Formats: sequence, structure tokens, C-alpha cells
Amino acid sequence: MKRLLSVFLGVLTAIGGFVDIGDLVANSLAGARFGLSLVWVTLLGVVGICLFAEMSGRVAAVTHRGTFDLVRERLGPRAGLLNLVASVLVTVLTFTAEIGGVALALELATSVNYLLFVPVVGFAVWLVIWRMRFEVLENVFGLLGLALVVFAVALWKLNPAWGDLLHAIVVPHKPASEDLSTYLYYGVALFGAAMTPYEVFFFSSGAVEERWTAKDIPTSRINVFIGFPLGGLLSVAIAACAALVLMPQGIEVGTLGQVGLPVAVAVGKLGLAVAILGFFAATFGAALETGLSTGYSIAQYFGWQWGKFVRPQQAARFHVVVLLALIASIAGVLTTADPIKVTEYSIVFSAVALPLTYFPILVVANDPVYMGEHVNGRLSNVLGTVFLGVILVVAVAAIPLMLLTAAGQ
Amino acid sequence: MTRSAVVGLALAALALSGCVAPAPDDAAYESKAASTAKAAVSESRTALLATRTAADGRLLGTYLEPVLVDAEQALGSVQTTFDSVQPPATSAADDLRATLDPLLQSAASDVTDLRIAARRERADALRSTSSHLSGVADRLETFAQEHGG
Repeated sequence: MKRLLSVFLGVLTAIGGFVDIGDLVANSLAGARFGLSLVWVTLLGVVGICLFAEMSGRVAAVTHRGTFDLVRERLGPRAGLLNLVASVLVTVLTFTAEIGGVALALELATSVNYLLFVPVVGFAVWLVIWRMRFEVLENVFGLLGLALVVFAVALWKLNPAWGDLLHAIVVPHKPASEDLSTYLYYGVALFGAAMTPYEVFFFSSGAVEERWTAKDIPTSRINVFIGFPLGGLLSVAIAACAALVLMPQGIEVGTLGQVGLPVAVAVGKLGLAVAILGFFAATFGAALETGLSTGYSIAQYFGWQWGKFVRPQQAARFHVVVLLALIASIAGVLTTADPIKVTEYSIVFSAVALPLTYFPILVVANDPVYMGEHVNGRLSNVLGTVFLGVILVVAVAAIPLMLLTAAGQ
Repeated sequence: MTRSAVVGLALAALALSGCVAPAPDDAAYESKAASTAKAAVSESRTALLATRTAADGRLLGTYLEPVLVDAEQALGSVQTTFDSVQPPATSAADDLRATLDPLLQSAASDVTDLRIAARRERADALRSTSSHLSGVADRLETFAQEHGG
């Protein structure tokens, strides 16, 4: 019974923790501008993140080592360093976007300018990382993130023609008023948002934090293959709400306030309050994950003691890295750069860095020296290789599309 | 001069050229005007949707104000950006500017009025300004459609 409850809790936190500021913005933006014609990209991204998160969880459960520890050992220090630099830059940019997202959620709840909240949010993030046990922070913010289910409720209350909705997803048509390059650019952004690299670092390092063994692989698979797709459905609900309420009025999403408006229209004040709670939990939880992921990546690469499973003084360098990343992120938001624009850039740069994250995971998961009997099967390898091809195309296309479309203008 | 110095000078020239307002041809100016009108429609309708939802009692008061402030700032930015473009020296470009600029000003002014009325909780002012802004947004949309937006 206890094990069943633990599995159930894991699935719930996987659902609630799936959506972050990138998913909120990218899905609402794409829904308001392209209807449901880009949902297929989100679904593709969900399949990809499931595939590679399962591999990275399995690798961590079998080897008891973090991703970057293995990347450096398997690919060598030079290739590992390139991987590290790219991943850390993207993760810190995402960290900045998440901190901005938390502050924006608080602004929507209070009407007080978001910049005033930034130092407070930064301190709260540091305090939680410093003091709260890993399992507690993962569960609390994952469960609170379930508040975003209100977007699914809003979609149901909007009473759409479900057949038409499904048809728009299955047979996607680019709106005639949009260029193909802009359509593809937002496709890249959605793919980057669904497959953000930090999610894999956090998932695999979390497995080490929670001392997973090979016995935990089935639980990990349930979390990934049930929790992540249901989390992905929340992304689809956000896009569908925007397509139904914002698109007909010609509203293009550029603020977090616009993302929540369909919920207010459909559900009212209570629903909106729940949505704001969801924004807060999703962005705060993701801020913890990105902050920790920065520390995990650097400490694992250099072979330092890392993690929250040891006392802070035993992992001092890890905590210093997290703190420095936090300071850099707070400074980034305080430049008054628009957090939503930062989010848009972070997901596109995530797309560029995807092969550097996912290629080594495929290599290690396929290496019997590390994995023994838990090495990738044929299906995992075929799917992993196909996805790596997709990831490579997306990564190569991201910057040219950004320049060609003036970042989707 | 070394190759790196030439590259450096070229990059500096390119960077400096970005500081000068562009002087596009009629087609490019029209496209810019259409996309400006489209962006203004988006911000105006956001303000309208938020105000009407609030009037129906479905939006938190704390939520309305930041949405209106964001729309107000975005409209200001849209207008400033459009006005910073040097139009080509043609009557067609002057006509475009003469049509679009007052609409942008009107939309920005209405959203400011909405924000003030929302803070003062003046339901009558919110209603009348919304009605006016709705007309302005419709005209901006027509303008965008007529000019390929």
C-alpha cells in the first residue's frame, strides 16, 4: 500500500512539475497565434522527453552517478566541457526566466510591480534549496503545480466542438496569414520548451538524491510514461484555451497576464486564483530545479561532492555554484529585461543545446559496461536514434529561423 | 590594413548603421504599418477582454491592473517604434502615417483611461471607454487587413 501511494505521489508530482514558464508562454503564444496547428510539436516533444528521461533515470538508478559525471568519463573532458558550458548557459537563462515568472505571478496576485518581488523570490529560492529536504521540495511544488489542471477545466467549460478540436490537432493547418518560417520558428520553440535539458539533469540527479537502485526502474518508468504525458496534456489545454479565447480576438500573447485570461473568462475568479497559484508553483518549482541543475552539472563535471543528500558543508562548492547562479539570475531579471522575452529566447536556445544533452545520454544508456543487463533494448535505441536525428535538425534550424523571422515577429 | 581590421571596421559600420532610422520603400513601410496596427489590435483587445471579464465579476481586481498596465506600456512601445521609422518621401507613406498615428494615439489614451478608471473603481467610465476602445480596435484591425497584415 505504501509503495502504491509512493508511485501515485510520484505520478502526481511528475504531472504537476511538468509545466514551467517556457511551457506556459510557448503554448499560450502558439495557441493564440496558430490555433492547435502546432500541438503535434508539443506531443512530439513529450514523446522525446519521456524517452530520454526514462533512459537518464535508468542510468542513474543503475550507476548511482549523475549525468555529467558519466558524460565527462565517457566522452572525455573536452567534449564534456563543451557540453557543460552550453548546458549551464541555457539552464541559467531558464533560471532567470523562472525567477521572473515567479515575480510576475506575484504581481498578478497583488498588483505590485514584479521587480519589487525579485529579491524576495531570490531569497526564498535560496532558502528552500538550502533548508528543505529534496523529497519535500519535489513533492510540495509538484503537487501545487497540479493547480494548472484549471486550464483543462477551463477548456471543458468553454465547451468547444471537441471533434473540430481533435481534427485541428490531427490534421494541422498553418494559418494562411502566417509565414512558413514563422510557423517553424514557433515549432522549434515549442519543441525546446517540451524537451528543456534541465528537466533531464534534474530527473537523473534527483534519482541519485533519492538513492534509486535498479529496483526503482519500474517506478521511474511509471512516473515518466504516465506523469509526463499527462503533464503534456496540460500544455495542450493551455494552447487550446488560448486558441479558443485569444485567437478569435487577434490577441497575441506577450505577458503572463494574457496566459491566464481564458481561465478567468471560462471559470471566473476562483479559477483565476487557482491559475495564479499554478503559475507560482510551476515557476517556483522550476526555479528550484534549474538552480539545483546548475549546481549538479558543474559539481558532477568537476567531481565535487554534490546534492542535498549530504549536509551543505559537505557539498560547499555545489551550494556556492547554486548561489552564484541565483545571483546571476536575479541580476538578469533586475536589468528589467522582459521575463517573457527571456523565456522565449531561453526555449529557443534550449533547442540549440538539445543534442549536447541527449546524445551522451543515449551513448551511456547503450553502453553495457555501465548498464549491464539494463542496457538499452532495440526499441529504445531505434527510437532514441530517430529522435536524435529530429533533435539535430531542430538544433541546426533554430538560430537561422530566429534570424529569418526576427524572433517570430 | 590587416584582414581582421577590415572585418572590425565592417562590423563597426554595420553596428552604427543600426543606430540610424531606416528609410524603407513604400511596400516595406506599409508592411511595417500593418504589423504595427496588428500589434495595437492585440493590446487593445487584451485590455477590452480583461475589462469586460472584470465587469462580469470574473476577474480579480489585482489581476486587472497589471494586465492594463502591460497593455498600456506595450501600446506606447508600439507607437514609439512606428514613429521612429523614417517614412519614404511619398504621399502614400504620409497618408499611411496620417491614418495610423491617430488610431494608435487613441488606443493608447483609451487604455490609459481604462487603467485610471479601474484603479478608481469607476464602472461607468470603464464601460464608456471600453465602448470607444472597441471601435478604435476595429478600425485598427480593418487598417491592418487593408494593408496586408
